[in-house]
Amino acid sequence: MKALQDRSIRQKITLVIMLISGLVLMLACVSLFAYQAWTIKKRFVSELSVTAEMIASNLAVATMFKDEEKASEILSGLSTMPQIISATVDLADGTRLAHFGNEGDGAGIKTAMQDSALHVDGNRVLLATPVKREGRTYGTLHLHADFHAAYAGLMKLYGGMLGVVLAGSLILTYFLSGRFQHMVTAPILQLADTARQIAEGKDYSVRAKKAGSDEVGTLTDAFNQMLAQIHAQDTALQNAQQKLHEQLAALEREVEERKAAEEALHQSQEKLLETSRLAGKAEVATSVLHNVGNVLNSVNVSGNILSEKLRGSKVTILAKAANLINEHRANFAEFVASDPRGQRVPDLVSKISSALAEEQKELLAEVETITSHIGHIKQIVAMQQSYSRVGGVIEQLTVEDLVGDAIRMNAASMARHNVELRREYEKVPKLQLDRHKVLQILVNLFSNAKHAVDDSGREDKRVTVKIQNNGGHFVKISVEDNGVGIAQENLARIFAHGFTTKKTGHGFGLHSGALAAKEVGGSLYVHSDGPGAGAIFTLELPIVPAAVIAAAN
Amino acid sequence: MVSPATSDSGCHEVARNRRRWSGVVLLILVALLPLSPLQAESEYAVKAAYLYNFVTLIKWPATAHATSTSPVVIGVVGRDPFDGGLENVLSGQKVGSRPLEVRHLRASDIAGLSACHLVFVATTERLPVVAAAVRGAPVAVVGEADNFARGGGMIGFVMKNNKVKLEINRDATQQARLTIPSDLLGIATIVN
Repeated sequence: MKALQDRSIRQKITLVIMLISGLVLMLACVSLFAYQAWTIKKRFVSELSVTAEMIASNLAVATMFKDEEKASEILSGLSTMPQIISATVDLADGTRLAHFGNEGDGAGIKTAMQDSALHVDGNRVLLATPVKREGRTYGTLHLHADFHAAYAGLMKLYGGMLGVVLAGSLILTYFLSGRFQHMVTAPILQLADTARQIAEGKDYSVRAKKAGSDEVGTLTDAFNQMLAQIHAQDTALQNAQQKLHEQLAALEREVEERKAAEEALHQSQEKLLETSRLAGKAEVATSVLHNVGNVLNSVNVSGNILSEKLRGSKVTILAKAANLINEHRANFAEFVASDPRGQRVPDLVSKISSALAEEQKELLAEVETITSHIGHIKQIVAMQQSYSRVGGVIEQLTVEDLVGDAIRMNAASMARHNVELRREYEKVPKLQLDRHKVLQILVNLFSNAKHAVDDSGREDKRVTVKIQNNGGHFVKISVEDNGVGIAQENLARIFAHGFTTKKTGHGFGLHSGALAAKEVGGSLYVHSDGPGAGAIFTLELPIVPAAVIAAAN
Repeated sequence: MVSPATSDSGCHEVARNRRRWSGVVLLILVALLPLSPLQAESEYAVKAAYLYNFVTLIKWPATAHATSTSPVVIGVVGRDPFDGGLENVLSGQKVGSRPLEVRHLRASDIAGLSACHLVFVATTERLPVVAAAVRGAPVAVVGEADNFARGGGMIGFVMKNNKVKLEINRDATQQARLTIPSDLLGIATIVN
């Protein structure tokens, strides 16, 4: 069957026609043959019975008069019929009157003929005919015929004829199918040819020729329609492809541009970060310098006081007294005893000594003050030095200490502006953080709070710092002031780069603070009920550091 | 069994007994016939059967029968050689719609002979007498004497190789207006 599938339509049609014609012809021939065989056999039998009737009639008188010679003579007439093997005439009493043919046959015939007058066994026919005359039966004629030879001969003839007819018909069918199948196959083959052309040439503008309006015609129409559609689609596809190419190129360009932009953005971000870092550092430095400046102011005041004090020192009176003593060195005792001026000298020295003692005490106090201020400066500088180390080092931080450091950096200016600082600390665990970054944020927050309360002009300036444990994961450090507050519209952009409400501000502080908070895995947010209502800045810091969280995930 | 007319004589009694016994023997013989060869069959049994065959085959002119059911009469002239066997063979038989009747006649009984369809002339009788008696009448004259057909009879039984053969005188049968079927003629020897 596989081999058949790969054959051409022409061959298939020929094969199908041949097969069908062959089968039909074969069927017709076989039925004809069978009918012929059946008819022949029937004719043989009927001929045989006619012969038997005739012979029986001829035999009647011979049987009546038991004339063996006459009976034999009549039977011998059967020799002209080669299919009759034997014939026997028996009298009514069973005695054999005459016999013809194969001698051994008689008994067999009789046994076979016991129950019927006709016995057909294949090609062998046994026939019993009563020998009658005037309604009376005188005997029986048994005929034994074998049609095999005649039958075979006839069958051979018919078979041969049928074979010739079959062969002739098939040959005729072959030639006719060759002629007529062209009508069917030509359009199909043409269609197939067109299809092959298109498949090879990829030229969809080719169209198949329509031969008629039968199914193949419909197929051709459909094929052409399909071709038109394919053609259209192909064109559209090509256009789309071209467009796609263009778009792809544009996209690539855009990607390039975006990359460049991203690079630029990255760079500016880097720069910004650097700037903010620097700004942070600057802020810390500013705060340090500010503090140092403040202390130096005090030192200066102390210095002035010292200078004043030293300028107004009683040492001049002591020198006067000394001159007086030197003038009267020869008669000092007399001078002291008799001169009225000399009489005042001991009194004077006593006064000077007590005055100098007083002065020394004062100066010492002032020097102590200066020393204490210088110690403060040393402390500030030392702290600055401790923060000015390279950032990014993660340390164990005690939040209270950190907040304390930040407060200390602003303490001088807060004290100067009479800002009350309140502390509300909860017990919180130690944090693993970049100390510098957190301090930078806090210093900025305190500085802002101080400015806010300062700008409000109120008497009860107050900044409250709270340390809270927020749900076990975060520590909240909030710096609350009762200062100018923040307008609603500014809340949203307060962390934006370059945004500031301060005359001297540069808009870096909160922005870099927010960035730094993000960098350490925390966040910075603000709350204010509006202008004049103060503000709360809250820094949330993770108890478990961001790096550990990231690693855990 | 057709009995003759009543008789008083003892001699007749004895003869009748003897005949009766012969009839029994004949019956036994006939009963044995299917097993015995043709030659062994009693000559007169065969001849009796042949007489029946004749009445079935031969066509009599219409004048020979009174009605369509009147019997076919077979007459035995002279001493009955069948010894009653003829009645045995023929009793109850019919030819068409006609019954068969056997009569025993004398040669002098001209009217009786003429009323027969077939007469069997025993060898005891003289043929010319019988022939003269039935001349002109449609009566088949059958006999067994030598040259019976040739000598004025119509159908003669001839023994040949122990078999009963026929001789037919066609002239005589034609004169008697009897129609003999050709196949019957075919198995017989035609004499004139």
